[in-house]
Amino acid sequence: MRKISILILFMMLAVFASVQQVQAKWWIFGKSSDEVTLNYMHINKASYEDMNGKAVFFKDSLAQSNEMTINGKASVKKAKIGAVMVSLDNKETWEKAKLNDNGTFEYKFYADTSKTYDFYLKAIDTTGKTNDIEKTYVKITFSSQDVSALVKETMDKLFRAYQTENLTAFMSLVSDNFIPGADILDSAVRRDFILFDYIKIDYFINNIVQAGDGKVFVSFQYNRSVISTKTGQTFTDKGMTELVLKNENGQFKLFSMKHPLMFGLSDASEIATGSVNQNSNEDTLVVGYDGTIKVVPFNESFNQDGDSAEIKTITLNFQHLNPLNSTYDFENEEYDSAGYMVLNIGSGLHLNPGTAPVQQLPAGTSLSSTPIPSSGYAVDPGGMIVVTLGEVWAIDFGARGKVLLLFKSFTGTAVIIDYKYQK
Amino acid sequence: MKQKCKIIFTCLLMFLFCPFVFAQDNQMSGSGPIQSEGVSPGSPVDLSVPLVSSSTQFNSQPSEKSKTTDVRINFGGQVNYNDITGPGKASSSLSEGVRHFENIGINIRGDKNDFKYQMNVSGRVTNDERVDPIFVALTSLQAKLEYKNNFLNMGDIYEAFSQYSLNTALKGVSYKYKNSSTRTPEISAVFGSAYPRWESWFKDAKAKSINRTAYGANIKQELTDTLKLGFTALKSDDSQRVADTDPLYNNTLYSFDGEYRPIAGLSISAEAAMSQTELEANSTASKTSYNGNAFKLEIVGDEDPSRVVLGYERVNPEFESLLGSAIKDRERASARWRYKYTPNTTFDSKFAWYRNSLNDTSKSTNNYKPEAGINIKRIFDRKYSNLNFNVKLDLKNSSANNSSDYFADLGYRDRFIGLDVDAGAGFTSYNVDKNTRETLDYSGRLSVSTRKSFEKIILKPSLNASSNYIDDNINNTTDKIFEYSVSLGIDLPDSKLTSNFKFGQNILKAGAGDNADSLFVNAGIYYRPDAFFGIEDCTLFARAMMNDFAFETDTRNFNEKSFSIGISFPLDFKI
Repeated sequence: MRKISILILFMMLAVFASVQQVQAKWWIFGKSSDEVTLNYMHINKASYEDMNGKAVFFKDSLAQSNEMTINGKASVKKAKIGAVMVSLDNKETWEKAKLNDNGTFEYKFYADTSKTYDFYLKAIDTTGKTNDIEKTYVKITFSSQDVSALVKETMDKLFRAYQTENLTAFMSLVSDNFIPGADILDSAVRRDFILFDYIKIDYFINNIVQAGDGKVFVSFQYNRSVISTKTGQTFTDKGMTELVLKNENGQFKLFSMKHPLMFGLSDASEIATGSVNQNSNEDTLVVGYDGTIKVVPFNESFNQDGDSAEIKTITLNFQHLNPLNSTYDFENEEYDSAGYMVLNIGSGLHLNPGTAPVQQLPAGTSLSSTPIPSSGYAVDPGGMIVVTLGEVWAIDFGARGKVLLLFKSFTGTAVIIDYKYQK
Repeated sequence: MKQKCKIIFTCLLMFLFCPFVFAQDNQMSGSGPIQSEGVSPGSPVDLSVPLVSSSTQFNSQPSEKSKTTDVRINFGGQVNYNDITGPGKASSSLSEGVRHFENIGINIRGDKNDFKYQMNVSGRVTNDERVDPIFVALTSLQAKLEYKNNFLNMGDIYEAFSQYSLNTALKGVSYKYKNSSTRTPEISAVFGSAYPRWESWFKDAKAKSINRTAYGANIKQELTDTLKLGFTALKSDDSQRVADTDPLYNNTLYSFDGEYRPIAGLSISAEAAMSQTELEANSTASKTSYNGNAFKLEIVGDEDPSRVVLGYERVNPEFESLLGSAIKDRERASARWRYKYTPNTTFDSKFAWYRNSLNDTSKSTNNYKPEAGINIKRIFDRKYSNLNFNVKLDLKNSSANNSSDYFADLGYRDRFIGLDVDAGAGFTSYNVDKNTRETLDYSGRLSVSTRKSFEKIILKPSLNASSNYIDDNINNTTDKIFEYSVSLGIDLPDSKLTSNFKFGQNILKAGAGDNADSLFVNAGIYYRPDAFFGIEDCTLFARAMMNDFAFETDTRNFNEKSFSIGISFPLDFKI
């Protein structure tokens, strides 16, 4: 399968290359032998290539005295860059930028934040040729909105689009660089819209913290209700969660989300990058791997779609092997004298895992919400372990899989166990 | 606990004190033009020259440097009365009775010469446990100091070092040295706790959480004009388990990231990280140690008319990014090509593949997501028209089962006789083999809206309608969903009034489950006077809403009504 995907990738690349007849030179990225090219340019540290002709700066995040810095590099193969000029008034007047021998330039100005600047850059080589000036156009504006207001506006739009199940509007507010992939969120939100009807979410922002690279961290309380399209049942939950928005050309877009998720619950394990660090028993809405909607305590809401191991119940009769011991093969679900686990009832109930590493989980551990531990096993405990009812144990049988056991009842001749097994 | 309180108290005192110190000097000073030709890397721009006018319009207009301290207090409060009736009232998401909700935020900012300071404090009071289980909450506490190239943040801090290492807010302190005018390295250091809220720090019983203490540093360096590199070392240590089942991690993470722009329009960025983790899975488990790594690469080629993005990422199952962003145990490759065929026609194609269970490929689920779309503006030579068509496949293959989902969407936007029309249709097919699932979903939506201005009144009516038919071919059932809403916005600009009224109905005819019929009505009126008891930018509002949920099973019916009045205003003053 991996080979197929790599093949498809290469095929796509080949298709990209084959369209050169339609529009030549797209792969050259402007690097022709005698053209004056702009290698890179930043306006206040933001890359001009990401601006698409428009840049919005927040007044409250500008440097001292509204100082703006434009820097970059221009180059040409067969000559040298002789001057770099900047226009801020739609090419009516030009100012010279500081230019170094290697083509790097810098220009600073104090912005009047009540104005809009029509920015162009002209790089001229020593033979008089210039770059494609039109392509350098950036409309620079300043937003008096504080970041909090813009974040609130974006959050309102996100929640409105999700609640009205408008996928196009919703995805237009998701960054192309969404972690772990806008395409994965797109599919998950589509599934949400099939599963949920009449989505209602109220949110109340706790705090908004800005990073230097345009990202904003938002922590908020939420209060949500949905109706299941399958059952018509109403589900409500509430709690606290966190997400990150990223400023892209003056518009905040969804960049990452933590569990509990607000959007894309249908594929939560593929979307949530981490979980809110809280110990809470708040009701939390989750969608199981089979599309069932559930409300479970937050602490049990992880891995609802990640651990597909089914909980089963067995009654082990101690008569089948000998009056004191019983074994069970979890893979084939049968008694097996050469089996995995040996239970002994000499003087009470004993677990004899042989050389398989085990670990005891705290009493009260829920099998439905606790994944089979992948680590934490003590190697070769040796001998038999006394177990009492209600205890939860995990055994690692190596290549033969792992099992999570809850000892439910013991009659003297038989024991009833809930278990989850995964190879 | 005492130590933490002392730290916070000291910070608060320090930053409340700052404004009064600097407010002593109320002289205004100007700053000079930036001589673009004369800026030399390494020397800070001289801003101490008195303000002079210049023949040039732009690079000679420094703003006045105020030495006053600006203080803004934002207040917002509302009182709600919620009434819930019916046998199914337990399903309501509202809290019954009279509930109040108040927010207050204080922002203090100012500067003197090269020194800038800012402080934000905000809190919330509510008796509505569905809004916040804590009656009085400190929602934000933040102080920022800036002196030349040195930046110190305290309280709520967010330093996004890199995707894998640190991409979450902390409560603590961070320091950054950053000199934009030279190529000296940008250095950041951070220390704090990843508590979700301040009440967790104060050990409020309703906000208990593990204490995840983090500290680390990041260095970023522009090695050449085209190459930037970064390195992060970060350690996090969990303590104070709240429940016996809580896992505690002790994690050390190192990350390298970089960006290379060899030619104009082409950028190559990458990050590689490794983690060393010690896990105590629960209170009775023994500690285990494991190491993991993650790598990602992205190549972006952007030059009209094309934009091509190629990506690859591999995060192994043992990689732990407790404060960054990563999905463990996943390998992913993706490609995207956006091609602007004409100024009005854009093709977009994407392909993504990813899989999990990297250590045991027999258990892997392989996902393939090819997608293609076209967007045409000004179709039929109509000024406001926009046509969008998109198809997508979502294929999953694993040893347990295979699924293939197909999505097709068509959207059209235009304006006819002054009416903005937005219409769309979609088709989705979900198929999971072994007779697990075979569902077809047909959807349609229509939105019509307009805005009419008369002499003293602006009317904004709109109509929204949508429907879904979901055929389940395995269970031979069909779920039908009809939704519509009608709304009218009325603005009276001279009276500073805006209002809206909305009525709608959601009808669910469930093939196998309970039918549902929800009616909703809401209305709101907002008054923004020029001044209200001398306060500018004040907003007063009153809102009312009613939701009526009727189900086939009568015992689940409920009706919720809510009435709210509120006010919000900022107070600005200088000290």
